[in-house]
Amino acid sequence: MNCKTAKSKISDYVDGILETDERILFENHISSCPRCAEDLKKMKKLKDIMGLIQAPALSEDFDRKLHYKLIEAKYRNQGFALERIFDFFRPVSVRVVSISAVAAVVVALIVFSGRRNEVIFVNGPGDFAGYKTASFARVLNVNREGILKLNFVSGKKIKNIELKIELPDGIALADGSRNVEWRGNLRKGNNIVLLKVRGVKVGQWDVRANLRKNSVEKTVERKIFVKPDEI
Amino acid sequence: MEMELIEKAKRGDVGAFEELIKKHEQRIFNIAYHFSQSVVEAEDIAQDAIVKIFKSLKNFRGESSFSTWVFRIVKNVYFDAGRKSFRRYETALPENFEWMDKKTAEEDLERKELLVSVESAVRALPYKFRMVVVLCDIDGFDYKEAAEILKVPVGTIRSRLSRARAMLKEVLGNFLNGQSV
Repeated sequence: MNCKTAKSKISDYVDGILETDERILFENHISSCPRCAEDLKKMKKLKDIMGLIQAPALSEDFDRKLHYKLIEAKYRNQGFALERIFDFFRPVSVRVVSISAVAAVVVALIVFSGRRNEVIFVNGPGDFAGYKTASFARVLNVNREGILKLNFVSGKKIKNIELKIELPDGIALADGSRNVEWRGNLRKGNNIVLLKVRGVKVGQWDVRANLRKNSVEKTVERKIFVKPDEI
Repeated sequence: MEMELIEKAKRGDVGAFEELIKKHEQRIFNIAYHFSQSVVEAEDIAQDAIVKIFKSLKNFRGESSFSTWVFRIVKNVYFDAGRKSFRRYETALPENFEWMDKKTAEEDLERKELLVSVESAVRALPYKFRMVVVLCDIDGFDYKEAAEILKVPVGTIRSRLSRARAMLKEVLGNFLNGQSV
């Protein structure tokens, strides 16, 4: 074996994959050629060093970020892109729920980004004209505030309505509480409730609103995504 | 157990998929790391590859091992899509690389510096050579596994590895003399 052939076999030799005949020829050459012996020594050392190279360990929040991406991918795969999910919350995507034999209440949930200080309002639409131009936030961010808007569209005036809203673990009111209770009258048309909320935990969460009049009640649930602040 | 998790994950069970992919996460990240410039970038790209695996799972028919299939997708995400992910990270050798040939500097090298220098040299390899070095020499895949992942013959892995090592040996020069690892 000459030097050129020996050089081409060094890598296979250090990996121990040369056939017996070739290995013997290679070793014979190495024993009589100091330059190739030196090359072999360097190659062995190089391989040893590379075996010691390690990438850093995954960061602590790698799995949390990945989880959010997987959840998002799952819904996109199913044709429920986040945009479409939140489209569903728009007032035009109304859902009629019977609250009594004579009245219909249309409920929609919308997540807005916003900086208003209000914790809760129950009032007519005229008082919230400013929000008509509010930009949509498709998801809430952890540790950031946003406005959760509920619009109860009533077919007629309804007296003595009891409203309860339960926020899940992943979302809280700005003051940290999770339950809202209100009693009053629904006016004909839009009845808007605004909640200043904050993302608490990453995930997909159900916000539950319960309307009750006497013994008749209706519960409406909507999914809200809370995403990591940095994504 | 693995097949059970795969079937659940195919039906969209994120929890099952996370359990399934957990043991491969670090290796998926490792490969990204050796082709990127920062841990943050590498994690981001690794997560994108894992999401791609999740979305492609319905196509897994068990014709190869799950592990091989996973890393084939990782390789596709990292490189076949125009190598967009890493193109901007193709690097030249650091300017200070020459000093490694200087005997005075060589004598002062610590083990950590030695590793960092070799890592830098690996990063400077053309991607197709770097890939086999990362898979085989750094992450411990055998030739057959690497061949299946890269969809090339085993002989191509051998020859690329041989050339890659020769390039590294050439670049590192006398630096490989004498120092104990």
